[in-house]
Amino acid sequence: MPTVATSTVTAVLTLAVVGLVAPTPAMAYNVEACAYSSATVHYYDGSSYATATRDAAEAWTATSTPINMESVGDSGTYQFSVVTANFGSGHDGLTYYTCSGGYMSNFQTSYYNSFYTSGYSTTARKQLMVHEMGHELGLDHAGTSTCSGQPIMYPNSSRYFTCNHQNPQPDDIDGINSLY
Amino acid sequence: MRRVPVAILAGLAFVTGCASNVRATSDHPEHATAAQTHIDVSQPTSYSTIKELAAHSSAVVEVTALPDPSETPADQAGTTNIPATITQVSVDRLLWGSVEGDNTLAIRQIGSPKVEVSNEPLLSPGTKYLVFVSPFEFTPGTPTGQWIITNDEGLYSSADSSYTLLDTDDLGLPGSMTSAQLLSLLPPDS
Repeated sequence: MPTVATSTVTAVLTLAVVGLVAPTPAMAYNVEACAYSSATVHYYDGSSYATATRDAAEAWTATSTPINMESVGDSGTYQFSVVTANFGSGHDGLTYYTCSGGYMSNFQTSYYNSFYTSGYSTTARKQLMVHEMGHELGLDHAGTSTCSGQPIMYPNSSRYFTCNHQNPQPDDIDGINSLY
Repeated sequence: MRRVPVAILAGLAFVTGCASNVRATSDHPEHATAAQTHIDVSQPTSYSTIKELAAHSSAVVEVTALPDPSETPADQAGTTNIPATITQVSVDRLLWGSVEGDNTLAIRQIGSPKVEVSNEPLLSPGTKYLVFVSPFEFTPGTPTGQWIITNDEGLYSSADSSYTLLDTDDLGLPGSMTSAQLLSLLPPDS
């Protein structure tokens, strides 16, 4: 039977134990365990808010990630669409997606809830859609109410109305770069 | 110098490899398998204290979810693929505020048993809850007769006069509290 030196075993064991128990840097992002197969993401905007949707997509494309959002028509294949609908009181935005084998299916949908967004400014609509597109790309909710360091994936629109965040934040970018 | 079998190192490598895979399962998508449909939602605002949450609610009640919840389209036009679930609950105890009508409330939640909503569970028949409720409206100022859990935040499981928060988003509300603690945190009843 082949053998190796005890010192080598000790070194490997030490590294393994350190690797298993050492604290890791805090990650202020959470992922959905699901992402698109490509970082080039096609979307169709069927919403009532073309400027906000375009600005939100461009905000993701502008990040230091591989993400490239491209607007397409509704006749071909796209990864997700953006729609306006009245869901009543409760939520200002929703994203509906199916995950299979670790990948998002095509033709997912993100919604503006017009119950709220009909009264939002274009910038407020944009921050909401940046958040919903974050879900489309595979990010889950994260962060706390403290504005400093709060990601765009914070669960409610106080991220904008209180903290004035309207674009992907550093933790969101780290999350996307872990997926693509 | 003592020597040990390579088999031990192989076993060690297997163990550390497994540890890496555990992390990879949560960080990378390629390990997920079965098709699952989800809804993620954004709330319009945030209430980080019990006092604030109650002040934006109609009532704070202990309830028991009744059997046979129903499913309906979540949007007013019924043209989206988003479901909502309506669960009847019996009001066991009114702790703050008021709810018009009889002893039963219809609570509306986005999602269904087949379409899960991240961060908040559907009410489960037979289970006791503490809920902060607000009227559900399709038109501002026009209640539909159904109720929602205020800002999705005000849902606690209830057992033995103590409550445990069910919303997994970290919005600052107490994770658990007793009935006495809750009563001390509520604003004066108007």
